[in-house]
Amino acid sequence: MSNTPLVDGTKFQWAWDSTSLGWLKECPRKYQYHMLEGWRGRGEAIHLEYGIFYHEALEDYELYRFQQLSHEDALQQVVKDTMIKTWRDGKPWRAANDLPANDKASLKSRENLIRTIVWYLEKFKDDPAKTLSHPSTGKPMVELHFQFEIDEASPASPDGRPYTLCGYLDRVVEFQGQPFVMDRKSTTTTLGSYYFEQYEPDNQMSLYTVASQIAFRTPVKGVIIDAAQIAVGFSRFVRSFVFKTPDQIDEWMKDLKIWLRQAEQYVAENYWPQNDKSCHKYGGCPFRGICSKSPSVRDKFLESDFERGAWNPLVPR
Amino acid sequence: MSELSELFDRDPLSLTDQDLEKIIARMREHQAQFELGAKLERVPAAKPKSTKTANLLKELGLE
Repeated sequence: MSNTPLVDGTKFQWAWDSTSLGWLKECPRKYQYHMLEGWRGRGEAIHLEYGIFYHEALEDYELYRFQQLSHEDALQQVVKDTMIKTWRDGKPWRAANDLPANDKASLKSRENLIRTIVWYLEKFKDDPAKTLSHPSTGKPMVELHFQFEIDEASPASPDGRPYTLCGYLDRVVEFQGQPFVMDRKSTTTTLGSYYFEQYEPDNQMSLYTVASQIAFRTPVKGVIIDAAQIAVGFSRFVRSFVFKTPDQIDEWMKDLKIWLRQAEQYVAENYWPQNDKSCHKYGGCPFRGICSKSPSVRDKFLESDFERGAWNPLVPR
Repeated sequence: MSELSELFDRDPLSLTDQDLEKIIARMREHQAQFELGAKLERVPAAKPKSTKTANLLKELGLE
């Protein structure tokens, strides 16, 4: 099976993760720019890298603890590993310095990353949410890749390939006797109710609940959002719950099939329309400045303001 | 340049266990200071007593 989410030589996507599906739902044009053409803003690369370093550090901590290292030793090892990973070409990872001061990605620096990791692991060293063990390997259920086919034919696919859902679960835990997926977020946004409301309902939370139930046969009740706020001088952590009933999951799957039909329609017409009611939501679309220009000059502005970085949900993190 | 900045600017492969302990210790100190500050913010300031209450307390010899 191909290792690209698009059927070769077409714009037909057969493997979907929550990110690409989210782009399609927000705005077909955003989906076209991000997913089909691989454009991304310069600040986005920093958010993405920062998130990967943060997730890897917390995953490694879990694995070190599984290997019977003490909290102190596991923490020290994780700090060392992260310092090494963030040392590039003989100097510290300081991509954030290339950004304008008002770009929030500038908060995501190397020093803030280490601070966030240490503060998080100190705060949750006696975490009431316990990582579950994988039923077959016995290893901690962290950074779990999932990929499964859904019961939906894909008539637009030239080779009749079924649709596949894929992605990663950060962690599967037991909390107060109930299984949950735990999803870790790092943000520069204040962690108030406004922040957490964006996840209920939310595409990613529904997909993760389905994935845990289908791919890992763990009947989770929903998702615990484990958010870290990165600010000037401090990092703050807040957890919130998103519960999902079986009826809600059935509804999400039903809607998904309609969205996939819609995606097929865009491919058939080779056109992904703007959803101009979405431009200012979700913190503002990175392509607002492009879509506000005349179609004839957009490509030039994309070339100058964005960089290429194809999103492939099938590639391991 | 602070001690912490100096450690962050050094090649991580040259950092000793003591250096790493120092980094973690500084981060812990900052966290403790931040949490103390957050706790103090949550404690409401004592409400000033009204003049009437203050006079009454004075009369009763309770102040």
